[in-house]
Amino acid sequence: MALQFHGNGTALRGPLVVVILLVVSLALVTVYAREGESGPVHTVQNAFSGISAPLKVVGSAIGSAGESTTTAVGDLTADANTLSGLRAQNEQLRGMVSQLEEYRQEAQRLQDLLDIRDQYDLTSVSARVVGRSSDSWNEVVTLDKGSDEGVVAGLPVMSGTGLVGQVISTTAHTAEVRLLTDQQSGVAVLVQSNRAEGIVSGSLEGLLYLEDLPEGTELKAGDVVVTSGLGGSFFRGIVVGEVVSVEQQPGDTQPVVIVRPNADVTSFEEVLVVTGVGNASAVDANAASSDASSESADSSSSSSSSSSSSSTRSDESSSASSDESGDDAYFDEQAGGEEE
Amino acid sequence: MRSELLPVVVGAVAALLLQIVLAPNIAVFSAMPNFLVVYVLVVAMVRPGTSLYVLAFVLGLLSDLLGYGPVGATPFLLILASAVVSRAFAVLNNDTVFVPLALFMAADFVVEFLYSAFLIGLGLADSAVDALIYHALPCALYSTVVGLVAYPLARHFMGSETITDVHTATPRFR
Repeated sequence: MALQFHGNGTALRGPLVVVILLVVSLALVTVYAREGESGPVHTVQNAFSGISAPLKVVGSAIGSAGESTTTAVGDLTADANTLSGLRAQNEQLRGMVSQLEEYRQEAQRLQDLLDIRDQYDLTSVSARVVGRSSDSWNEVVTLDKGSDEGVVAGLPVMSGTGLVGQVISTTAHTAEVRLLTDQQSGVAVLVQSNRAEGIVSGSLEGLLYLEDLPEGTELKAGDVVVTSGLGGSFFRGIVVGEVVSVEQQPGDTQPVVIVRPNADVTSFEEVLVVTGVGNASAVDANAASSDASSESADSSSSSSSSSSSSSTRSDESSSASSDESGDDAYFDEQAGGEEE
Repeated sequence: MRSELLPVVVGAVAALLLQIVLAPNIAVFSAMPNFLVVYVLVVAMVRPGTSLYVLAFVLGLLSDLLGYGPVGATPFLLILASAVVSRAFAVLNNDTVFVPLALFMAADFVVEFLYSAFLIGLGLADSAVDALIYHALPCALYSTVVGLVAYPLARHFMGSETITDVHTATPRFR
């Protein structure tokens, strides 16, 4: 009797455990979906991100070491073939050159960051990428600066050439940044050439799509896209990228617009977390004038439509008002810089 | 802790560390192996039992907490996958590589695709087709390759149990 009871209990225990754990899992999903960003499950998740940050640093270091090892193995194979002293010396020199090249590239990247900070008159916190997301569904990187250094959730992040993402959470000494190409990423933007506002969204395939444009907006490849500042998440006037493809599908009211990010959002090592834009006030003060200039541009659209490349606009605006600090001039200056 | 459980726990810790440290560095485009899913599936084939579901729950929960997706989705899917795979393996196993290969591929694919369904359901992803093409399929293939390496290792270190009822015939886990 006791054996039978024990046997039945054991037989039921497996399915019972499964059911209980499934219910707990679904309950967690429900709580996660219903609570806000500051809810307990989100808080625990953010805490775990902080805890795992040192491991991600190790992973990043191992990744770098792996690349170095691959290079070293390649070099050693070459030495074994020749067994020549000169060859070995040559390899040693190559190693030094590689190392110097690494330093040079790092210096160049840091110089780019300084340049872009000066260009935008940014106040910012520089940081290094110390880890990347351990799951394939999220394009998130970990930075080595956190709330103690002034980084807070919501701040935009730039690399040496443009916007790369936005801080989504921080710990004392680390910050998680969701990249532009992440499917959950969205940036309010405007098209520099015609001031049309829209949203640049990431996607699962890693492309950026420009969506929610006003009906009838005409776009062409090469149009520069900059942040509009709407919604308050991103500062106004940061270059996001340029339009590379516009495809109007039959039956769709809006074309499918693909934007190439200005910054390389897949392989960067140093970034700036933007805490403020120095000349944002000047940009905003001239925002109204941009409408007027748009209207005047409309009146002469027939002439500009044939050759209204961004560089032409840049030249015109900069020559017409070289001392203006309006957003058009500001954006055009950025576009001109990019084309150079 | 029972000595039989020790290799399972050690393997779980190793899988977790590999997922955090190694997986991001061996990603190929959007494809990244999921060592935690692979490990749970391997244990489901090699050492099924009640503690398998606890393992699936714990590893799934850790995976969600260390990631950025909805907490609870991965443990839910891993528990279901481990239950189905352990049953299927018990029935289909013929000591060839084909059965674990097929089960790895099918389970990985289903887990990845259902996870995308969770994301879509919660408004965190847009397109099921994109999820299928750009994530579920490549990630499942990558994880299958990892699973084919992990499976013989797990058999070597954990031994294996040939059973017909995973809920009743697992004395070493009770």
